[in-house]
This record gives sequence, structure tokens and C-alpha cells, in this order.
Amino acid sequence: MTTTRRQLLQLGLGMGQLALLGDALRPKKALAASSEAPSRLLSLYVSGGYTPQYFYAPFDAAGAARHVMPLQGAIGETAGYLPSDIIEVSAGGGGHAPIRIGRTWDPAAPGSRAEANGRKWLPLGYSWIEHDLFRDAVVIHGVDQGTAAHESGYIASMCGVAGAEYRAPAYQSVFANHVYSRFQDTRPLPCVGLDGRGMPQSLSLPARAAANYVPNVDTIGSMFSDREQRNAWWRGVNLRDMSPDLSFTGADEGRIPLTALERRALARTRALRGKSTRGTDAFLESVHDAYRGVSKVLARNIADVLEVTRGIEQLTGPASFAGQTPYGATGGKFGWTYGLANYHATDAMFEPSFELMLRLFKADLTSAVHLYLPELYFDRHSGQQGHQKEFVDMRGGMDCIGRLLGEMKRTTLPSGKTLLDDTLVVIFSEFARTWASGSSPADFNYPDDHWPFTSVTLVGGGLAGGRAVGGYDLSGFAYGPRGLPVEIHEEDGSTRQRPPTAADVTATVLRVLGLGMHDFFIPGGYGEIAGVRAT
Amino acid sequence: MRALAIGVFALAACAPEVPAPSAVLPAGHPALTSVEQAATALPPCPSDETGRIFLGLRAACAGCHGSSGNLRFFASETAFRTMLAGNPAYVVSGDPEASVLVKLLRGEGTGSFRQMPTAGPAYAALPNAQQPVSMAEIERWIRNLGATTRVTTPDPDAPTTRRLTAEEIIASLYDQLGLTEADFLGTPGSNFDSPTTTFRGDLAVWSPDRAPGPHYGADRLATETRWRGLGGASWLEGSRRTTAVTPALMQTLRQISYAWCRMAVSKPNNSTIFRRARPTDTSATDAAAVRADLASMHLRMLGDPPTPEDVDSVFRDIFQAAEGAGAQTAWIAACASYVQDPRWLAW
Repeated sequence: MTTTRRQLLQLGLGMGQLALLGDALRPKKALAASSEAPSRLLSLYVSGGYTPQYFYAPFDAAGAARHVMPLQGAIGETAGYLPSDIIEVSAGGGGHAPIRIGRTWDPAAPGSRAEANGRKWLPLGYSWIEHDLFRDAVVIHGVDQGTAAHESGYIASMCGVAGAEYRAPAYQSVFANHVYSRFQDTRPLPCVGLDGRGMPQSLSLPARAAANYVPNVDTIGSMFSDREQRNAWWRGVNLRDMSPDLSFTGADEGRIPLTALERRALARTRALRGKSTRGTDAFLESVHDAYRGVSKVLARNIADVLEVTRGIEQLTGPASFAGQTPYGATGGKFGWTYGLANYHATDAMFEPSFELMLRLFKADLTSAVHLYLPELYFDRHSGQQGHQKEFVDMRGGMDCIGRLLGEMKRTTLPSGKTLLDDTLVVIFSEFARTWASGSSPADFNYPDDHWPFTSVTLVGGGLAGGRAVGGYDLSGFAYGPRGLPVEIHEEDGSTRQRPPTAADVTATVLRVLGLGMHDFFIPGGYGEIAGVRAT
Repeated sequence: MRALAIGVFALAACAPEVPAPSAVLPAGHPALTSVEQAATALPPCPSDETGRIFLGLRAACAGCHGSSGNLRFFASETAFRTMLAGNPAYVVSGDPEASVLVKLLRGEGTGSFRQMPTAGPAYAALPNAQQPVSMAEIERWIRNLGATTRVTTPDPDAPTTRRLTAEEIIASLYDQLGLTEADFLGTPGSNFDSPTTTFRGDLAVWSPDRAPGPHYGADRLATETRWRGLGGASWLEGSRRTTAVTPALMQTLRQISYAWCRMAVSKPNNSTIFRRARPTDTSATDAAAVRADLASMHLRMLGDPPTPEDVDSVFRDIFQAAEGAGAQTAWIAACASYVQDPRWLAW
């Protein structure tokens, strides 16, 4: 029998004291998500169509020999790994394979940058071992995005359906809306996007589910504060009184601090209800709810909260690889140098958005954050040279993300969970790239184009961690492999074996986050990929 | 540019009850379309189930039949009424069994498509949570539908409800507040495309695509952030215009309403705001002039003639309530209250 935190508190405090805790322990209304499901979502988008096979090894040794480029010099780095470099980094389970990756570091000294026997050790990717992340991860291989067009694939990754426009709300908004009633008193920004490009779309969901654009710490003050010390135009108009928090239909939903203008705007919006068509009422309701949301955000004074919250607390100093710091101060906490250092990633590229994301989560201001990582752009179309750079960038990007996840794993929340345990992290690109292939090092081909079958990594809470689900069918290889069938629990209750699609990944993400199979809808059908969610 | 916000009558797809025109409209105002004219130009509001059926089916259907898809039946309520409900090829008024729509929703189609939605279960087989309106309700609606009007293409002039675009928000505010781009520049007469240009105005908004190049000094990110917040598109950044009502829009608009009204109120000789009153006027110095200019703002920014109560409520609840912090604050508050009015945002 599992003893819940509430039961422990009851035992320790007694019912009388428990009653005194009041709201702190009272279940929020409409709590649909399982208490075991993570209460936060972080989606990390790597742009341009990445190369998962250069980090993971979703094939056997023969497949690696045929599809991972032979070891070769690449601007002072060594790209590629050998079949003998493939290692299992998790236990697998439930009939699913362990996660396998290609090791490019010296096992005796993971941070080594030494060069010998025609190979320069590349530590990138080791952060996942440094922070023991694979036990918390499920990687889904062979996902059919249904498209090889950038924006269409990006949209497919977020809503499950490829196309020029969203055909269903993005899962970030679906989740934020689902847990809204549970966290409406504590998280004033249910859904956040940290880059104006490619914001998740919420379509017809309530306004509260639409992504708030929060670009950086510096602009938060002018956007999210009603304090005249920050924004002089609020002088004399920012006095708030606790007022009834009325829904668009006039239902009393608690109390809300409103200014005189806000009270008037809300009242005038409600007064227009029923004066026109139902469509107009739906529009006005979205205006009304967005007004309420903005008032709550302003009243929370989140600019001040964010300013005093520290995001990156655990990672101090340059990135460590088993105690070694090969990239030193140049690489910093989230960077790396590339070969002859004519290209490198630095803290200046990644840290601002990572820091802001962590602050939003640590201050408990949001349920879902979408982070577009423009610093990692894979769409090179440059043949062999493209593959070489994509090899290093794939590993560097995953290593950088691993460090971020390490910070989350080392952060303990008041609930006792780690931040990573209470978050589902989704790492994805719009699709993958055509694979290199050859029967011998001399005859390798390097087509560097879009390929619709890709891999998606889930890390964090609610997962049956340590598994690689699905794979790639190398038998019919032509520029790239198709996905292998996996077990899928379809929305109609049946179970089928078929390659996973973007819709299935979307549905699986929402299932891991505690939504029921029919709490959402994806046109074209969807199922939950078996073996991903902890049961 | 003429004011873009035209009031609740124009955002409706039908004509609601017509209120009496205001008797307090200040003399000399430019003529606008009268309330009566605006109302009679629209079809009557529905007394049937069509609006509810439209909203109920929209979630399952608009993904493919919305404003950007094929056969845009769900692009608007008008489109639903005239292109689907009004087309006997899909809906036979009074006879649900003969209606192709019903057959498709049941998964019993005999044409190119056997069912709708095309993949997964047909609508009738969806779980109840995904059926805001049941098949029985849809069949009853068709049975009682009565006479319909068929239109095969959307009417480009049909009134639809949407919020203003980013471009319209900016143009409307410039026009209604008497502001120009020059009011935002650091040095009068300076070239806004110069890399050294700075802003003195508050919360400027510029598109990243603004030719010949986005410089704007240190304010570049902030100006573009607000552009995105208002839903503006950027070809350079591959983002698309949105007219969704998002928290980012409301957040940006809330800040802009105060910041730009403050600029307008403090701008010397701004006759757009101050037609009869002076910036220093309060309810104590010239209440009549204040009321007249509030009525003027109402008409200009909301697009319909104010009733006496409209003017009184802003005068009493907003203007006078803020006078304690000074005349300028009172004018800013009144001005911002019109920008924050739900009708201001609606087109």
C-alpha cells in the first residue's frame, strides 16, 4: 500500500491541526490529473530537423556500421562513432529495449579532449550520465511526422497533425487548460512561450490556455507589472480592491483584485452577453477571461517575484564531465567549443532562456513552458560537411539539455519531489534528416535532406523510464528508415501494432500528464504508445 | 485613418435589439453610420438551434473545415448557415434521414467519404465528452430547421466577429489618440531607421519587417516583443498574424492603453483628445467640457453614440475617481478605459 503525503501529514499532525492547514491541503476543484502525473510540462524544440542517430544508437552493430559515418576529422573534431562504441545506458523493461547511445568519450576519463589513433575524444553527451538521466527518460524511435516540410512538421509535433495550420490545439495549451482549475490560484501564467517564433496555438480552447509570450527577464517589467516604479503610466490607476471574481455568465468564482478600470471592462463585457450571436458571445467570453487572467498576473506582481527568484542554482562554474571541465570558462555552464573553436556554443546563447524557464518553474508561476532553441539549427543541406556538423551539434545540443535537466533533477520542490520528477520534458525536432549510409568507409553517401521519421525523447515524471520504445526498419532503407511497429492503445479501446505517428506522441504526452484518452481530440485518430507511461 | 472600432452592432452577425440613440452627442461630431442603419443591414438573430449546433460541431469539424481548410463551413457562423445548413446537398431541411451531413456523422456516407471526421471514429461514435451536441439533437435541429438560405461562397462583406489585428490596433490608436510615429522618436526629426535612434515615447511597437531594416537601438527586442504580443506577423521571423484573443494580446494592450494615453494626454496642443476641455480641466473647473470630451472619445473609440449613462459612468467612476492623483491621471484613466472596453477590440 502506498502512503500518501496527505496520510503522512494526517498521522503527524492529527486531524485538528490538519483542519487548521485549510486551503493548503484542500483538493482543488476539478482535479482530473492523477497526483502521480507531473504537474508541469517543458517542451524543448530543436530547430531544423535533427539527427537522433548521432546521439542514440537505434540499431545493432551492423546497423551502426552501415549508418553512422566512419570516424573522420571535422574542423578539429572527430565525427562518427564505431559499432564497438555503442553502450546500453539503461535497463529497459516491459519488453522494451534499454536506451543505447554511441559513446564518443574516453571511458577512463570522460572529460578528456586527448587525440590518439586518429580520434579526438568528444565528451558531449556525457552529461546524461553525469546527471543519471537515462533512468528518467523514454526515447520513442521511428515516429512518423507525416511531412517533410519544416513548419508542417513543427505543427505536427505540437498538435499531432501535419499541415500548414494547426488542426488541433497544441498539447502545451491542452495541458495548461486541463490543470488550470487545479492551479488557477497559484500559477498566473498557465502556458508560456519563450520565443515569439512558433508559439503553440490554442485554437478554440479558453483564452487562459493560450501561450503567454515571455521573451526575457528584462522585458517582464514592462509587460507584467503595474507598479509605477517600473511603469510610470500606472501612477494613480493601479489601486486594486478585492472584488467578486465573476465568470462571463456571472457565476461567482471567488475573489479577484481589480482596479476600477478592470472592474468596469469586465462588467461591460458581461453586459454584452446575449445581445448578439452565440459566436459573438464565445468571442466576448474569451475577451472576458483574458481580462481576468491579465488582472491576476498583474496583481501577483510577477516581475518582482521573478527578479528575486534564482533559476540556475545547482550548476556552478563550467560544465563538469566526471570532475573534468574540458570546455572551461568559454563553454561555461551550457556551452562547448567546436574543434578549432571557429564555432562554439556559450552561456550567452542558452543561459538566458534556461534561466528564465527555471525561474518560472521555481517560482511556481506556470504549468507549461515551450522553449524554441534557435541556437541549434540543423537545416544545413550540406552533404558530408553537414553531417559532420550535425553530429557534433546533436551531441552538443543533447549535452547542453542534459545539463539543464541535471539542474532540474538537483532541485527539490517543497513537495519533496525534484523539479524534474514533477515535470514532463519533451525534446523534439520537426523531423529528422536523411541518414548517411555505406557498406564501407570509402563508399558512404551523405544525403542531408529532410526525413519524416524521427525520435522524440521524454524525460521526467510519470514515465516508465529507461526504455527505448520503437525503432527503425533498416530493411527497406532508401535515404532513411521508416519506423517499426509498436503497440498502440487506440482511442477506440483496441490495441494495434503499427509505427507511431506524431498524433500518437501527442496523445502519449497528454496521457503521461494525466489526461484521459477522451479529454482531448486529434483529428485523424490517435493512440497511446504502450510502454511509455508509468502504470 | 478613420476609427476602426465600430461597436457591437458591427461585430454581430445579426441585429440585436436597437437602443435609442443618445441625446447627448456633442455638436459638430462627424457623421457615423447610425445605429438604425447598422442594425437593419444585418440578418435577424437566430431563434432556432443553428447557432448552438454550429458551436457544438465546431470542435470536431473546424480542424479541416475552418477558415483555412477545404469547404470552409466552419469559418464563421454565417458560413455554417449559408454554405452547410442552407445547402440541400448536405442538409435537407425537415428530413434528417435524407441529409448527407447526418449520414457522414453516423459513418454511413455513400460518396467519396464514408464518415466525418474522416479518420478515427465517426462523430456519432465519438465518446460523449467529444460530442457537445448529440446526434439526436442534430437530427431534431434538421427536422425543425425550416426555410434556409443557400450561398455557395462566403460573403466577403458578411459581418464576422474578430479582434483587431496588430496593424489595426496601432493605426486605430494613432488616429484616436492623435499620435504619430514621430512622438516615439528620441530626437524630433531623426530618422527612425538609424541605428542610433532611441525612443522617448513609451512602449513603441514596430514590426521586425519594417523596411528598410529593424534597428531601433536597444529597444529593438522590446518593440518587436510587443508587435508579437499584439499578434503581428513577421515574414523575417516566419511568424503568422493571429487574431486570437490571447493573454499576450491583453497584457500588451493593457500596458499600451495606459502608456499611449499618457503620451496623448501630455502631448502639447493635442486637439484629438482635448476638443473643448483643457488638459488641466477637472470636474471642478469645467465639468461640461470634460463630459463633452468624454462623449467625443466614446464616439470616436467605440463607434456608437454614447448614452447619458455611458458618459456619466466614465465621468463618475473613472475620471472623478482618479482626480485625486491630478487632472492628467484622470484624463489618462478615462482614455484608457475606452481602449480597454471590449467593444474597442472587436471588429
